[in-house]
Amino acid sequence: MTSFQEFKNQALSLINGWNEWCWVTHRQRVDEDGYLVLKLYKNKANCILTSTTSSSIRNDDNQIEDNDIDMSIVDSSVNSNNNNNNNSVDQDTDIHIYEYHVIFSRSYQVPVLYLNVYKKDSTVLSWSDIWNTLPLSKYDSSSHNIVPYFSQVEHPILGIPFYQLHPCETPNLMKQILSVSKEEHDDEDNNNNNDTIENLQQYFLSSWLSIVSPLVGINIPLHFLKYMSNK
Amino acid sequence: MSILNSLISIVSLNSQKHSIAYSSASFSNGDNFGLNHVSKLNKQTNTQTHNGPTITEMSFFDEEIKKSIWDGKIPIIFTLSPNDLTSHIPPSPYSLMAPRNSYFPLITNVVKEHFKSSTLVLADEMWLEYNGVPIKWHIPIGVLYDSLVGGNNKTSEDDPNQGYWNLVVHFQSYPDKILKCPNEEYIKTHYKNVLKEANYIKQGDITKLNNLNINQTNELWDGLKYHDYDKFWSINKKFYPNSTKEYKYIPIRIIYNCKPPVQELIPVFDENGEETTLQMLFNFIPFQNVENILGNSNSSSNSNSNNNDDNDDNNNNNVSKSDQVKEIDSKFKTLFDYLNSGVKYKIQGIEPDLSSSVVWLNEFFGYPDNFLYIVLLDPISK
Repeated sequence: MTSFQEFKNQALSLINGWNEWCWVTHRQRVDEDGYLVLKLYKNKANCILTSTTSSSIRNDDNQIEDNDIDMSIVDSSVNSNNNNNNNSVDQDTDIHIYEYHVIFSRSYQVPVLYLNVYKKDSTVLSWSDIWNTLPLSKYDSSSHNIVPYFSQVEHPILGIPFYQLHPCETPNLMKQILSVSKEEHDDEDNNNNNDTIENLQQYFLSSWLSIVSPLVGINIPLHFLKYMSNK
Repeated sequence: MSILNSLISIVSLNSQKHSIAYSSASFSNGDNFGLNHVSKLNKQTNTQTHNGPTITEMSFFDEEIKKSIWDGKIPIIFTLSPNDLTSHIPPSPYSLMAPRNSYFPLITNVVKEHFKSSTLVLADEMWLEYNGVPIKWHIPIGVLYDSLVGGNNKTSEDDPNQGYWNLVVHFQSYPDKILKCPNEEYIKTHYKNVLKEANYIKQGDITKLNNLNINQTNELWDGLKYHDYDKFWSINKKFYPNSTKEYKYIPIRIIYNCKPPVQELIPVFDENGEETTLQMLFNFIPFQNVENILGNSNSSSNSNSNNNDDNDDNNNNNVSKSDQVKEIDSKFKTLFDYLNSGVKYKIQGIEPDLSSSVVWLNEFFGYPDNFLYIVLLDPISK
């Protein structure tokens, strides 16, 4: 991913297939402005109750419940009963709001994940409380207080503290992922030899997000996988 | 060396009084020893474009300059917040010379010890405040000072505190707008991450950093923590390419009022093979990229960026899935146009000449995190 414009194109195309994400802009007259935002409302058992644009969750989401997709490893899947039912959300004081931002880093030229979790009254959760709810913590036995790749940083646009999944390994990771899938493509279909790494670059954001999401408690909806496989 | 050294501390101490005398003009026709060499070296870097002078070629005076920048210090007076005072006798203020190239949590343990006996409220971490603004510890001290005080130390001539930076010490109500710093590991992690970023910009990978062994990593950290020039630079020099040709981009940050930095990828040479100067850098950055962090812009960005503590649904107000209509009525095209309207900039407390090479400045005027911080000063409050 070499430019912000490319990130933006891929982000807008991602929203077409995964409409819980929003494209947010803050500035006027700036070409290179905007980032992806996803808000998930989770209860104490870490079940996702509803997301940013709950009204747009489609019915076929319910199929996730009998899922054979091991990508969605959050304890429970979208609870259809709670869709559009904001009253029940308001009454529940144990609701935690997970706010995920995906911002393009010009330094590393990759998307970067930022996360903040807060309660209904806007009080921010402590890192140890957040860390324990992230599926990633089950894979990392190191002390929850110091995880060098996930640290509190200043949000590059809002200027307030957010937790950042550090991007320094992302370029290498994605280089490997995209070259592996190139080989697979080559094996499957010899006619498709023009499937170069450059062509695969268009899947950069969705590939990266499909790796990162399960680690930080984002369910990948079935309709998005369908959307991607139809592309 | 001592002259440049004192120049830096004089400018830091009393910038308003001296800023005119020691601004860019003195860099090109300075009548003192240290400054002459800065301007000569800059000329040298400008003329030898493609083969770019290697660091070893210009070592003698440069080493002095590097050391002088490292030795730059700011006199600070710390006072306990009246809200936190629980003893009968208020404690005396605590003063120290704070290195520009350091972070507050690395040097304020003595301050904490000094005030500890005068307050019972030690529930939270200690934090600092200047004129009602909580200090962001993750920004290097010199950048904080240039940005918050700049050329505008408002104390009057007969104020006994004149020239000092007055900071208020707090032990409660840690502001949620600044990063937490419960222990040294947090500073270390932050420092390493920024250092990685700078080096990724410089060379496109961070193998040099990852290849450090544990002793070297500790040496670098101890050098920063104890402000030990020889220790720090024995490792830090590894992060600077031997030749300007090895650079991909120069890591720079434009800072205004301690807001999130504006970062641009600055090439070492322009399309004509000329080594990038400060002026070229300012011309390279579109004004609109900087406009949003300036307080006096007319755009709606002010209200948006200031209200973010109320997280709930704030972002949704700004959602737009379609492209915004672009207005092209800005007065300034580039950052250089903006600076030409009388806005000052500061790098390590001084205003280097516009003809200075940026890659040179990055190495010699850079901060320990390897970024070159260019602080814009608010024209309104001056």
